[in-house]
Amino acid sequence: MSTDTLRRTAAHDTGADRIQRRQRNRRIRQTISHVLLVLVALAFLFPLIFTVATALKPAGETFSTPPSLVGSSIRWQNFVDVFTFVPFHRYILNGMFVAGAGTIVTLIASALSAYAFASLKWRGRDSLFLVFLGTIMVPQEVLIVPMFILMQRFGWVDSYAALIFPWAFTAFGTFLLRQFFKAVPYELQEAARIDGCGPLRTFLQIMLPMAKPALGVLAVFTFVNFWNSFLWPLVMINDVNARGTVPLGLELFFGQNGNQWHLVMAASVISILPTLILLLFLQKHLVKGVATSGLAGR
Amino acid sequence: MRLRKTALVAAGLVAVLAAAAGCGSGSGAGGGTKNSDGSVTIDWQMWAGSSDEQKQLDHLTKLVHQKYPKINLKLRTAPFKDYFTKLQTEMSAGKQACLVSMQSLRLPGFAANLEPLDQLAKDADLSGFDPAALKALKADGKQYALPMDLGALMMYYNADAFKKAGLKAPAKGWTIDEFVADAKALKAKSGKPGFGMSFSDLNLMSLLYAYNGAQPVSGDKLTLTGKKMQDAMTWYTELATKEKVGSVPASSSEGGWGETQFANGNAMMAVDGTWNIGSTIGQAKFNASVAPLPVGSAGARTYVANSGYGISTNCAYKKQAFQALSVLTGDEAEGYLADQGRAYPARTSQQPKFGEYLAKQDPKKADLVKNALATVKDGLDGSVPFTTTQNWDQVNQLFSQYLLQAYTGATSPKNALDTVQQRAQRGA
Amino acid sequence: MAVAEATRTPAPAKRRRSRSARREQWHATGFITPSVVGLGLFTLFPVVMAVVMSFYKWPMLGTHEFVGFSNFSYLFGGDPDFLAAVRNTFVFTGLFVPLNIIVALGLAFWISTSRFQQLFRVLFFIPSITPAVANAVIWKLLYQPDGVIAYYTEKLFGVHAPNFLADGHTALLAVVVMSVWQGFGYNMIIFSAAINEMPPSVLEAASIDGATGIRKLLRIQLPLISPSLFFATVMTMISSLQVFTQVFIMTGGGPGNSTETMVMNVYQAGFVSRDLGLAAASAWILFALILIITAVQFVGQKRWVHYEH
Repeated sequence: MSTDTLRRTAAHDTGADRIQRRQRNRRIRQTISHVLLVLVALAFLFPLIFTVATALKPAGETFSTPPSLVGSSIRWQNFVDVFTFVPFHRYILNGMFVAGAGTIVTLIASALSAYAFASLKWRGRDSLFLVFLGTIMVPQEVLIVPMFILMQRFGWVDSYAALIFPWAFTAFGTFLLRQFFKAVPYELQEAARIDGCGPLRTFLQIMLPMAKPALGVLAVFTFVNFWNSFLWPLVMINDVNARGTVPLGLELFFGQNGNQWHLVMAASVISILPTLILLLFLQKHLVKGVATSGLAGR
Repeated sequence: MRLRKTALVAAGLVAVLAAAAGCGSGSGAGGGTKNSDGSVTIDWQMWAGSSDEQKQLDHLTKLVHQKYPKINLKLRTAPFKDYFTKLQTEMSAGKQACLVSMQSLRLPGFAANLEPLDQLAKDADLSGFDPAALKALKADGKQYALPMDLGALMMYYNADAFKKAGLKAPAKGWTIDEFVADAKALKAKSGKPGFGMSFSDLNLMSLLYAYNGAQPVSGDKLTLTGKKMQDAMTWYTELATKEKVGSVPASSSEGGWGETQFANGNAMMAVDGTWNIGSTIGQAKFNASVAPLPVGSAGARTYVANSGYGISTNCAYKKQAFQALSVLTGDEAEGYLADQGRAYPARTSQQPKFGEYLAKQDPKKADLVKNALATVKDGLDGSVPFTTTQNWDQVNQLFSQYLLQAYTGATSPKNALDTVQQRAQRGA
Repeated sequence: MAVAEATRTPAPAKRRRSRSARREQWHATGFITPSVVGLGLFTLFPVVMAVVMSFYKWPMLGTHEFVGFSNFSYLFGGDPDFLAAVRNTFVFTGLFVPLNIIVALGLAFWISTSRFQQLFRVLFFIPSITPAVANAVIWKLLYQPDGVIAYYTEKLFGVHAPNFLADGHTALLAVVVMSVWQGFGYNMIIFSAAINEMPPSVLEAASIDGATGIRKLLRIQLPLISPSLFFATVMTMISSLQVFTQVFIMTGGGPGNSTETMVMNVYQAGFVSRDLGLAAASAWILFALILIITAVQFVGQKRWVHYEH
């Protein structure tokens, strides 16, 4: 009997009502979910917010009970002091140069070999490609010690070259670009060939322009990897004030000024800025790049 | 035709490679280069952190060039904490500079790569140097470096906190027991730790040496397992675990914990070298002062540690290097560094300049400074150079990891020392 | 594919074709040379050299001599820190990888319901591309004894906070927390993309069948994104076995050897103790472990990864 009445009330409920109610419920749920999500995001960002806050506090006010985000005054001067305290501009320039040169070499080498793997037919191609893929698995750390000896033999210890070349030949870049080149319609290449274009012209005039998005993504991530790299510069660079990169400078700066947290945090903010700006401007491409290729940090 | 283009690209790549290889530090073997005009460029490896320090060193290179126009110094710097690791890598690559800055502690590990100066300095007058400073830079009876400064380990204390707690300020002759009692009273009054602890070689070991004369190295062997050392370490550890007056480092990567806690006003005393008198007294937001280390069962004790410059064995221009060296350690250079507040000079005639600099910085603190500098002389009583083993970097690393465990009570001091001793064996 | 191309190329002139094939071989050689030289010189050669070096006593200064397996026997017998480093690395990986994947996956599903998905993706991705050194320094500040985390631990839980990075019980955990914060952004984006590409028809069919909530997640959604899940797990595991920078900055391997990781061990052996042979041996063991673990994962994937065709 009770089921019967229930069924009848349900039947009285018009479909429109039900949909409306459901929509309202969903909207409420979504709002709650959004609010929570924003809270989670804020908690997640807290370390970075706290960093910026500390970077703007006067000396000696880093720790307070209870913790506060604002010191007795906002001190922008800290950001200037970083540069007078250590040659931080030098680290930035070095980092830009090393990352820039490293990116260029990586792109050239990767694009050339990717094209050969994707579009040319030659003996030993597939087995060589397997070898390439195998090298992706080799962790940088394993190579550090023999690479150090190698750099000694080259006379590259404490040089920009040592920071740039050893890590500029990645099978990963080859792999990524090869996928893109393979997607270029074969007819297009064939047409170019019939027009009398050699492989180099085909590569430069047809393939490279097509692969621009992939090249861009690879460029940005390569740049970021070089920019952030720490262990290798730590081992390789002796004259830090002359050839040190940003992470190295930051770490040493920190070691020397363990008590001056406000300056260390200001330096950290500065070191984060370039990659952050890249991320904000190129977010769509970067996110897409990660999503499609899973480009991970080195 | 197309092949040639490909080859061109490849050649271009190689050219880029070669060009970049050339943009290294550019120093050849021999630690210097002879220029076409007959002048000599000599590499000089030195530690420097801040931009100020870098500028001071640049000035020194100019002094050398003024005195010897045919000598140019080319400065290469690394931060102090990495300096000796870097020096090793440079030596392994055969790229060490002609002039090598050396700290007394590290001298034994590098003596094999340094030229004994006794022959070169035969005609030079070394009487201007404080004898303690010269002695610290000797190994096996040979002079391997000439001193830039003179330093010893002292007790830094927060004079304001002492006054507030109604304590007599520490002075020459105060004892270990008084030190502990003061630390307790300071802690009770201020609520903050009375003493900033450390696992860094000099800061830690000098207080152990003061406690009962225990030393970590004998000859060139690590000796951490002796009874004396165990007693001293137990006492030190108990400052944290039993007396609860010690501020324990926040991690094994906090090499300068005690000093920085002190400078920030978070610990009321800490052991540090004379080389930081200027910066610490100047920057502290309280009245900081220094006293000799407390006297323990073996009498007044502390370590001398200083720095100087030596000449590497593979240097191709030893004569010129020594000329540069004599300028770097001459009256003018040492007076300049003292004027800048950089170092307490090894040349006795220049030592007053350091006090003048400090007094000038903060006239209100002039008395503090005067007192502190008088203490430096007092503190040198009973001092010996701190000697180390060849694998000292490794020992330091082990200290940072295992002594911290003792400080937090996770293991016993004896265990920690045994562990370090045992693990340092292989590299010794 | 070869067949398709063969039919596309006109049949006559076999001789001409073989000549053009030879020419193509030359072209390919030109294109491939920079990478082959670079990879050979800077990857393959060092890998082999690492093997050779591991059998030598190879001090940074002085001459090297062949010592057979003595570096390896020292690592497994005489050096307690090495085994601790292996253990710590596995503990780290065992905590970091699942936490990373769960957080990344959870947030990926969560933000997929939001209109501002792209914004959240970017936000959570920030620490992943900032210098690890900066991240580590920042967290070191947070973990200080009188720092923010200690304050709120006491405030919220009423317990006296440990000295996080100096206490052997908490140091490694503290590093794991920091690493998850820093690292999950990558995986979140990978998952987020996979979630967006789930075919709506399949999801619709599932809800008509009455699959909701957990059941829908386990039976329908996770299998749909399992290739991404597999890829992310493998990559995360490889990188987590190589953890170094955070540890180096935050804990220096201590207290004791409680945060000493394998790469830290390589660094200390090679560049603190200056025993390059020992470091090479240690590094090679790390490489072998990575290879084995990755291989096991690839074998195991057949059981749970569903590729669409």
